[in-house]
Amino acid sequence: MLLFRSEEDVERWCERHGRAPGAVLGAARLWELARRWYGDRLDPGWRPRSVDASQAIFTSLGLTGEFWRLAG
Amino acid sequence: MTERELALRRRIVTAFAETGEPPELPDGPALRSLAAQHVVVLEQAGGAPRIRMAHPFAGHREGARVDAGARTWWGNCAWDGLGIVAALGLPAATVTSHGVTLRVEAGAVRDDAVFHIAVPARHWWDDIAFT
Repeated sequence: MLLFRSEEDVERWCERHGRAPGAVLGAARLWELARRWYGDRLDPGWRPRSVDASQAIFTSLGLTGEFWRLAG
Repeated sequence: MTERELALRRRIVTAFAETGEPPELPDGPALRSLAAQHVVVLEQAGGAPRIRMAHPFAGHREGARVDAGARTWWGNCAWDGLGIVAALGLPAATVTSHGVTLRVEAGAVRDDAVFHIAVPARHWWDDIAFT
């Protein structure tokens, strides 16, 4: 997982490393993902999240399809 | 996850939050269990295990740097760096990764960038160092 300035930079990186493009997120959606995924990590009552709950975070941000499937 | 494991995990993330560094801990079954559950990633440092990752925090310096005021933390990638900003409730911070800096102010990210995920989600833990 790497941060780039532009999608063109992502394409150049993929070419240079011989990798097929994966998924890309803009900064605003990445921030929302970070808030929902990690916002509770320092809460005193934190408990591990289920796979279904993690999958629901992806879905809530429109991150659906085979690439974003966590299990199975 | 047992109460003992939850307490150990709490101790680990609190140390990261307060110091930016992983705590030094003795090896033991609770620590190994947290690693088996992907709560921490360990590396060997001399004869003792060292905490390399306790998401979103990183004990290494290869991911994302988070700066707020005079303080610094490290995440494993930009997602984690922003996660540190969220978990700590920082009102303003910068997250720098792979030569790109994102400013977070007043609950919003102020710069454009593109975050690329190379590996499908279900394979992230096949090699958590390359995703």
